Amino acid sequence: MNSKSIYRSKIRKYRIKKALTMLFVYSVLLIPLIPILLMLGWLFAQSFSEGPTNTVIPRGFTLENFKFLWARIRFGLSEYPTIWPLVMNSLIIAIATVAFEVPIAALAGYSLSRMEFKGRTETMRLIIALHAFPGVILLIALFYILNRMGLYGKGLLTLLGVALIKAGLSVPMDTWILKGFFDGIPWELEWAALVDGASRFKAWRKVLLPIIAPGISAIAIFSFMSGWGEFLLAYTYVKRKELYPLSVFLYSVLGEFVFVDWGLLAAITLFYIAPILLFYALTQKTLLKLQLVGAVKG
Amino acid sequence: MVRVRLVNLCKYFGKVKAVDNLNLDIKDSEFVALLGPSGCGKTTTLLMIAGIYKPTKGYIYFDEQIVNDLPPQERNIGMVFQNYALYPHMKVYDNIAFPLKIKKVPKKEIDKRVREVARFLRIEDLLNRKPSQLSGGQQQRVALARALVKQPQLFLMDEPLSNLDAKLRVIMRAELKRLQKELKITTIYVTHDQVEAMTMADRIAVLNMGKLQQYGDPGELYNKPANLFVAGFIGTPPMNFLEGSLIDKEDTMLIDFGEFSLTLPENIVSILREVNASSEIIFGIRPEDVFIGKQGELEGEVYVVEPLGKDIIVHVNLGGNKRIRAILSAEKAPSMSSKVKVSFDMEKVHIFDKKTEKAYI
Repeated sequence: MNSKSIYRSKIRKYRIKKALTMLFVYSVLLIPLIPILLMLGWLFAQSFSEGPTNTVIPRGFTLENFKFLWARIRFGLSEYPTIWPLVMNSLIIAIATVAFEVPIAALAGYSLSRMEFKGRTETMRLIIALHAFPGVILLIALFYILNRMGLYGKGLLTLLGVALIKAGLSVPMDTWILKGFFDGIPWELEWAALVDGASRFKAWRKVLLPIIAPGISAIAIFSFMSGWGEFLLAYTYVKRKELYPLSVFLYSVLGEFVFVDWGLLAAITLFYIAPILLFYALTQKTLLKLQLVGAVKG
Repeated sequence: MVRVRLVNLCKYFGKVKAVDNLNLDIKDSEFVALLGPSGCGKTTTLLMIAGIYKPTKGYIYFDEQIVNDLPPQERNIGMVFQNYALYPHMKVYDNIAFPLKIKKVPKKEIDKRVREVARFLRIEDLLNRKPSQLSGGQQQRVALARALVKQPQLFLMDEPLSNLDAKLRVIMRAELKRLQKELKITTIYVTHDQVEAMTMADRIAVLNMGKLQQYGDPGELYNKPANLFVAGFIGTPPMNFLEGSLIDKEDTMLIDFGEFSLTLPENIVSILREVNASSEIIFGIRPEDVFIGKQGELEGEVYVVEPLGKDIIVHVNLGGNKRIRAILSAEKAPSMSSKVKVSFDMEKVHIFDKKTEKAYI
């Protein structure tokens, strides 16, 4: 009787505490999301409205702003035949970034994880020290390097130059991440492959890489997104209008005159971020699988 | 089928001598067990034979060829690891086919051999599953299949049974032994379980702290252990050890254990005199050679009785801190704290030098 009521009040106190904690946790999670959701809402609304709007509600409804998808774009004094070459430019940078980052990080991550060589510890220390390096401050130095390499002002090659720099700045972090994945694979798997007749490289390619596929996907996804979203380097080094990636193009839409075509701006922005949103939605599952690496018994 | 010889083999990791001057000769088609406690160097030795570790010193011979610098891919060995190391992203069929695919064996041939070996190990219906969908015993058989499919000349196993439940372990012990006898592949088997080694191997190499303690067939190791370590490691329940001093009287010799003493028979006395045995010795006797009853030279009190079913283990205090175990059949069970007489089968006595731990008898 007595013990029962003490028991019940304890449970009640515990439940209240739990509810308050959850309330707190959810507020912390959701409150910062509100501004972001509002901004996205505005973007959506503005792209479909006839005139400028300050809220999440469109003023009128039109698809005029999306004309750029098939027609010529005209704003201020500039004119573009169509938007698609620009999409191509962004794509080139994004894909080249992935093409540079993934193989290098996969090979380097393996070496750091599995091989003994002089300077291994120093390399790892350097990676930690450089992993969050602000590439921006290298802008001028990079100009000299790109010029020397013959990648400045050379049309498409400049885009590759941008991708190269982007990749170069991210490779240390990617290498470290993949090294972590390789570290998680038991030695026996590689030994088994060697005993089965594989060379070290074959073992890496046929046994280890498939096992860390989630890690590689993650690196690929993030490097694609970073390449697609690259602005500063492209803005600095790409001078020809036809070679602008979408990010730089957007900026130029903004900066032409005092009058800004908000509708066009919002529509193009939405178009710009759509692939990323789609991409991310599709790869959610893979990214969430990241915790399951290696399936060796025991 | 290959003859493996280890000559003065050493493996040092910095200052640690994982394997110290190991000399071993494994005959063609023989089943040899490397037995010892954790950290004794047995797995390191196996990995050197596989080619995964390079010896620091010494040589490994496959038949007459020194293979120290031969990479594992070229050694034509099949290996089963303790945790099987199956490729998790491949189906069972592909796991088994992997060594053949690497060798670029034609597809038809691969299919034939994979199915043959799967049938042999009774895993044909598992070919389309992934390793994560298999039980421990099934995974182990897939690992065996993968090792056997390339018809290796040498079969290496690193504690393959330790991840199985006790019942399955007993079954697989017999299966593996039968397999080896049928296929006649030279096999080297690493284990810390002396029952596994004793039941499966033709010869056992007992290792401790990187050094070979004794190398012989199970009977030899059991009846004629070369040192204290082997004597205490092999046999369950383990051998009883009592410290004592030899007292050499003119006509006879005793062991003085402090609280009591034991007279030694003539044949033992003459051997001990011949080798000039030191006076500080350790006396060893196996529990099945200890007799408890109404007659005997020594007196003791029953400390505890452990029933095993058919037999019982009786712990007897002989005086002072000296307690020994005896195995008797269940009908002869004495009660706890009863006073009993103890005697030993003097034919089965072991005497070790206390300092060097080597066996005199």
